[in-house]
Amino acid sequence: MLASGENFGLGPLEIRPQYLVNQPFLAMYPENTLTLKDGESRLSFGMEIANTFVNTQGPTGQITKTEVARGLTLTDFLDKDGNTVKGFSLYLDAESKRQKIKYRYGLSDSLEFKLELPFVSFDGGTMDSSIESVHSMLGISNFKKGGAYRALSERNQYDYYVVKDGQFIFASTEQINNVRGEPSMDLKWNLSAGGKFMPAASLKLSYKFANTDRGGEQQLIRSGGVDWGHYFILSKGFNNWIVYFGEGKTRIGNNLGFASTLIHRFMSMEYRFSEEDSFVFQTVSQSSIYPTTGANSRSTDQWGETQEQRNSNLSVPSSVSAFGYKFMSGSIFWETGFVQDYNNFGNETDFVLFWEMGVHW
Amino acid sequence: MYYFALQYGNQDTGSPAPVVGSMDSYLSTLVEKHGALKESRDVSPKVLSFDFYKINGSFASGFGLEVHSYSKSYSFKNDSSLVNLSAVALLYGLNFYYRGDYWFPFIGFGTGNYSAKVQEQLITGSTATNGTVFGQVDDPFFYKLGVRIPFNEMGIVLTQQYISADINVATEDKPLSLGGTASFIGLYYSF
Repeated sequence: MLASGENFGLGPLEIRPQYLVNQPFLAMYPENTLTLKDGESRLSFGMEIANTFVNTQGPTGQITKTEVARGLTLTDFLDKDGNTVKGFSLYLDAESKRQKIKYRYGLSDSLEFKLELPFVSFDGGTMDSSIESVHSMLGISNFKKGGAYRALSERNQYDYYVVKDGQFIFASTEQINNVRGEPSMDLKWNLSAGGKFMPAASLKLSYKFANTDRGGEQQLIRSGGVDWGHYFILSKGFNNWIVYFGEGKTRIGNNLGFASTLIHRFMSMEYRFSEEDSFVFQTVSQSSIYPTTGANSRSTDQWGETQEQRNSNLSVPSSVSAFGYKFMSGSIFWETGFVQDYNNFGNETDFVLFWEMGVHW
Repeated sequence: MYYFALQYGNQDTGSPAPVVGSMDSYLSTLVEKHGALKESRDVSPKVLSFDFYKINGSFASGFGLEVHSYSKSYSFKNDSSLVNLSAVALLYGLNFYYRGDYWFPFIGFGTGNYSAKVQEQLITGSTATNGTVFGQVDDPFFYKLGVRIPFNEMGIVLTQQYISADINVATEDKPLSLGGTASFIGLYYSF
């Protein structure tokens, strides 16, 4: 169904940012430059499971198992001298499961329409002990920054606290299951198939609909505003290798106090084992969901850095690398892989597993 | 065809990449307050790279992925202030080769990202201020030229690389160059 060509493969891994705070917003994600042909359809179902753990109070030991067990209050997010911290402070301990139904349709040989509907769950998950074991195997202490101070907390619990300038934006300890998110639609236009020297090029436009029903748990999943974004994607083939590059931007309509735009960039290297299956390595960089705040990045504290200093780094862009496998034969396709952050700034997921499968006709 | 290469060399972070680079000002701002730098702006990156390419007669074009890493400490003449810098880059881009009889000259360009940690301890009178700033450069640009000299599957690679990659150091709100002008030499293995 999908045409093959010098500059087209099975495509990049279609994985969006899974960080908890990003979940209510539209996020552009990598895609193939290739579009479905006129009249073709594809229906797919996928799931992305992400483990996120951030404890900005970890270095001072202000939030441990004891404080979490009694329930966190704003007092726990003051600095160790009892002062309100400018900017953001976090305690995130969750696994998110984002299930998505996608339908694509070829409006012409170079124009594709897509509709996507997510269902999101937040819970304690099961990956904490495995992640801590991997940290230990690599010599990373779970009591220190490299291990995100994971050892101070119980495993597989769910807690989601975001504080900005001394006020809660999110404070949730109740797990949520399959809450329907806001649907989005895309139009992708294959501008050129490229040639021996020129790459293939496509432009993707995405639009997220607003659902203003944000009562209770829905506020964690829905922003209530219209978001839209674009991705400009290039691909170039070198025999069995296809290289993809994309640059895009998301504009957030109702940002809830977070960033109003997100910048995205990706690079994918696809190695085609055969016409039917590929291995993909991918890196994705993204600006932070946390905007720059009034947090002071320098201190005269004789004991070293202050919490506000450390938290000022949450606004730094982050990067992840992903590895995956794609398979397509006849009318069936399947992709699976994992994502690992490599900056550890506290504004990115720790580990993501994902898969998607579907049929096209 | 594939190349794996390990290179080592010198990179002058104070020498902006011609055309695409500009002078930074983070360290020069600190110099005004704490005296001249005791060290040069040179760093010594280790570079691990992987390239694949497609041959068309005497020419070849391909794509390369390279990881750079280095660290450097700066001190100042007037007091005991210190700035520690460590940086890791994942760069990627296109390469174009001429396949001669005994050597393969190449040019390339690309982008990627740099991650850096700037740790400062600054002394003013009897007061010490501390700051640790993490940063990422999302839109570096580099171009390079060089030559591969093959000896069967192994060979020597020489590279001259120009990198534009400035992070903003939030403590001073000034840019610091992580790139500059670099010269590398290394060994490669092709298969």
